[in-house]
Amino acid sequence: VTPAEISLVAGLLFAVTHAITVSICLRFIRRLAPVLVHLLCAVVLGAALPAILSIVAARFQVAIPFWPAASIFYGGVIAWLYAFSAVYKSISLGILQALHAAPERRVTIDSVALNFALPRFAERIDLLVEGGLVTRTESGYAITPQGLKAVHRLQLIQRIFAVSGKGFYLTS
Amino acid sequence: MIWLPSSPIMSAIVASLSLPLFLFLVAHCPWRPKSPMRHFLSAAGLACSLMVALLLANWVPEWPDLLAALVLLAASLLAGYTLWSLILWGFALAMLNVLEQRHRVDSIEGWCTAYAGDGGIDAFTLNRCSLLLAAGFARLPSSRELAITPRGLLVARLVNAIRWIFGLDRS
Repeated sequence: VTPAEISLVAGLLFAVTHAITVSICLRFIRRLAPVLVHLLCAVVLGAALPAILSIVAARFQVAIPFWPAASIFYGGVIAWLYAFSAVYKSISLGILQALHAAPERRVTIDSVALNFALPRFAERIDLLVEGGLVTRTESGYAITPQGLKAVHRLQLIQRIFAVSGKGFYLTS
Repeated sequence: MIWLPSSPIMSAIVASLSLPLFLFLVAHCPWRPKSPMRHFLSAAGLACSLMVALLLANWVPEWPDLLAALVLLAASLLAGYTLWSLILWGFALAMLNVLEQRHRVDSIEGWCTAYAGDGGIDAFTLNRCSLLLAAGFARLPSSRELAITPRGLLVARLVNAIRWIFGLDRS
């Protein structure tokens, strides 16, 4: 077994440990945003990785390369975060789940709109209000200076890459 | 411990860092793809080509380094794609964008109409359903009814399993 192979295996073990740790922490830590839980676990395990590798290198008197382990660990962290993001608040996958749970596995579009899409829309508004990007008054909703900053930043990035995001998917 | 990255991993790091530059160059070239997905794929293709060129120029035939380099580039492309889709299709950011243009909306329904057009929540729902229809996860047995397909059933079970792993069913 070469030192590079030891490094690869260490990276794989740390990626699996990260996946298990995140899944457990998400069940118990409810006060932190889930993305922060992913990030914190990645930072803690990412800091432990070189320390553990150094101990193994000293114990077996071999020069173990750091980067194969780091690459596999980083790959695992990104893949796990991607899997989480895909199912966390996806409206389309939520509709698919509602279809799966419905009797005879079919629902009307009106029912999806009323019982699923509109509550999700309202949920996002609550998040924007909680984040201080939007204010809710008796006369409706208005953007705050903080919200304006976020929009202008987004528009600048969109201009740099010459894209315009309307939030609508184009499937045709 | 060896801290210096080997040449395949260095190639992957350079290719990963070049992705925003390629996204910018593709955006401002005369043959810019109209679809944002093709835009990203073109830039990702250029980043992969750069990595292949760098690998061929500094070939070190050691498979662990090569595997690690490939995983590193794939992870960077995945992270880049996540940010790209957030810029383009980020739901909350798009809602905020609409509010900035309208200055004020009087209700959730009003905001939804401003976001999705005259069809309001109906148009928004149909847009999200169209993704399921295009992927073959659902079908429309009648014009106002949505039914799951066998493929959709498999994906729904997979989604349920992933949600269970992350403890999302309890929230």
